[in-house]
Amino acid sequence: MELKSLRKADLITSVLVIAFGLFVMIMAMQMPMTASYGGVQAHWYVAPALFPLIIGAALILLGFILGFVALRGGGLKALLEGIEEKSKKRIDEKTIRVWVVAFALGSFIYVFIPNIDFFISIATFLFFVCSVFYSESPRVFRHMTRLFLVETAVFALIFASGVSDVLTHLYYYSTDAVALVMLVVMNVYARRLMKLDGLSGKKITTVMWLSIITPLILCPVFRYLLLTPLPNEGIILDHMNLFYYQLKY
Amino acid sequence: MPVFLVTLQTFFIEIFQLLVNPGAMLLLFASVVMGIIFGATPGLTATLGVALLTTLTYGMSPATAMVALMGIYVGGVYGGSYTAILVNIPGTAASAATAMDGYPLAKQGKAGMALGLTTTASAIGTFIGMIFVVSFSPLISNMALQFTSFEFFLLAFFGIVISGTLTSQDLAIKGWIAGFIGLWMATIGRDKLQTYPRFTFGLNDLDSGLDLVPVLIGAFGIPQIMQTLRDDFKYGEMAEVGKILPSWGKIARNFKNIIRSALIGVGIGAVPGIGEDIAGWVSYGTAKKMSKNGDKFGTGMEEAVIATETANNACIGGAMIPLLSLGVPGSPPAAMLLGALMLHGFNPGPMLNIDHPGFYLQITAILLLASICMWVCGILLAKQVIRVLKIPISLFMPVIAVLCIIGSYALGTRTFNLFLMFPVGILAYFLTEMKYPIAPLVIGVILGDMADSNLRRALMVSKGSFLPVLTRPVSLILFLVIVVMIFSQTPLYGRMMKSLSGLFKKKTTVGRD
Repeated sequence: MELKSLRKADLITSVLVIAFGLFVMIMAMQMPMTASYGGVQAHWYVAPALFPLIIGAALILLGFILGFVALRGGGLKALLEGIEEKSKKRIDEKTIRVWVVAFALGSFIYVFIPNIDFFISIATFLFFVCSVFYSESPRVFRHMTRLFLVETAVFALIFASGVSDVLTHLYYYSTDAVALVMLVVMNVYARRLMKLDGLSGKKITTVMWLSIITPLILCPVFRYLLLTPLPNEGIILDHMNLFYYQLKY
Repeated sequence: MPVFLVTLQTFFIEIFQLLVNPGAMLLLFASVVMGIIFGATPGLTATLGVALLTTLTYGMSPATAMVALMGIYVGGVYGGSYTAILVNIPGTAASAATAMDGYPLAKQGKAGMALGLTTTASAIGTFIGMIFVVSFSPLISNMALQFTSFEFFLLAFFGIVISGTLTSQDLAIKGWIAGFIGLWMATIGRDKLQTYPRFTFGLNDLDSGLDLVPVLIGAFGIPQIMQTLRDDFKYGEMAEVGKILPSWGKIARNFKNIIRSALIGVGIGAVPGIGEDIAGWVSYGTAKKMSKNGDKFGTGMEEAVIATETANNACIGGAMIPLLSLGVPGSPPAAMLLGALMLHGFNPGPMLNIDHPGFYLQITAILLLASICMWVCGILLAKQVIRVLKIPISLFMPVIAVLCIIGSYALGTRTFNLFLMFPVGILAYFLTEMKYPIAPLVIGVILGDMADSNLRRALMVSKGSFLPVLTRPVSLILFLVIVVMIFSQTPLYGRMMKSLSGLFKKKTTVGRD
């Protein structure tokens, strides 16, 4: 980041830091300062609010200094110029790539892991991220991202609306089965996109194997060697457990 | 028998016990190799390696876990030199200075020789660092036993201020802001003295505070993954590696350089939060200044690669000193190691030597064996490791992301830790982009509890008076250092120094006249 853009960002963050410092102080002021809590008669110097108050005050002070430095370094001018230019500017490729990674991680953590079989969650995440970044095809990147966006939105809707409960009532592994079907769809779609670009599907085959082998190693290692119950054990992991314990006992 | 001999005897017993344990030795070799791969892969760091391995060591005995963690730490710091020399892209920030002369050496067809030199220099650096751990940690921890709450509060504060000042690439103030954000994160949960819930927003999951490992994985792992995938990183043409030889003659000729660089590494490592990267650069600069061929640095000087690699590996020992004796991590990987130690029931600090006598010697023995393992692996397995580096980053990074996620989850088997890790990672990414250092944030999270509890405990004893800060010698020194460090970042200090130097110049001119 060049110095001018850095000072622009500093100006914005200084405001955020001051606001955050204020928030910390306001929250701290609601904590007991001299009243008794949990049977302990508190003085100001042992109050739980003391340290957060110091932190809040320090953040406000540092925020002001940062803002001052940013203003002196031409942060305001750069900010105003940035606002004017924003309408003309297109989002660059790197920013899009960051958003895609962040979105993939976010959907993996908040949508897939808590609700879908961990094995399938890992496979879906890996297949999506590896195919868009490893294929080196803008078409695959664009279309696969769209597909993954729709898939995540559909799953989020299914789980948030309670439809998943109805589906589970009908068939216990229904959502896992849908996710599995989606994984197959992603695979077929990625191959088709590669073909349209005149590229071989070899890279997608590599990605497919990677997205199967990784959970195939990780899940048993954590589940049976480290004895860690996995976040969501569904259609694949339940059967894997069944197979493992049948074999063991 | 004199105490020194008893210590030496215990030390050799520790080494012998490890040597006759094939499982431990195998684990040490495996973790060193894994560390080298982590260090050599751009985007992966020793810190992340230690973080991810912590999860796998959860079920192991503390001694075995330490073998694995120290192995990956040592291997991780050394591994960065591979890509620094072969493709001019340092695998870790610690090896950035190595690339300056390592790559020109590789271009001259001396890649094997350069790798041999860095391998031997790294092993010697680790060894010298180890000597400092065993000699200084008990002394410092004995001294720290005299510390009261005010000293511990100021020590925590000192850690944040110094790491904020020295790790910031832009303004020191940004490091301090990151440190205070870390301190705030440490206040989340029920406070230790009155069990009052602070910043929990009614969420029971936050009552026990933030788990350290997911926060560290989020802070160090997520930004790395996002940056590497964003930049679409690809290796350039790799230099041909010939025979990798230790070149003992060259090492012997650089004896002074090695000792000097190791001392720099240990010294910088002992400063809270300052990592191996700074040790590498400072050592490079010093070697350049002291060398007869300083002007040739950057063109492929052997002295330069020896200096940087000795210093960054000696930094490991340096970073272990405050970690073991004061509970203050000396570098980001040491911060991660602190989390691992706590997970295994150790409480680093002055009481460690009393609660677990012989632990220092155990760590020292592991460091010695790890440095030998690293040397053996470096000389024999370098070509195989280089082959692993040919795996495309776009396939490697998503797998690392999965490991980060499963690692954050597995330690407490709490999905909530994942929900926590992600926003911490996103915050760390944006902070990194805006040139805020992450080390002070992490140091803040680690030292927050120490600062908070000790401040209130100290004030409880002094009945709300801050006067003991000025009346107790150690407190006063720490307080003055903090004040000077903060003051040194103000424009007033710059002006004062300028006028002082002007005055000095005038006086010397008058004296000459």
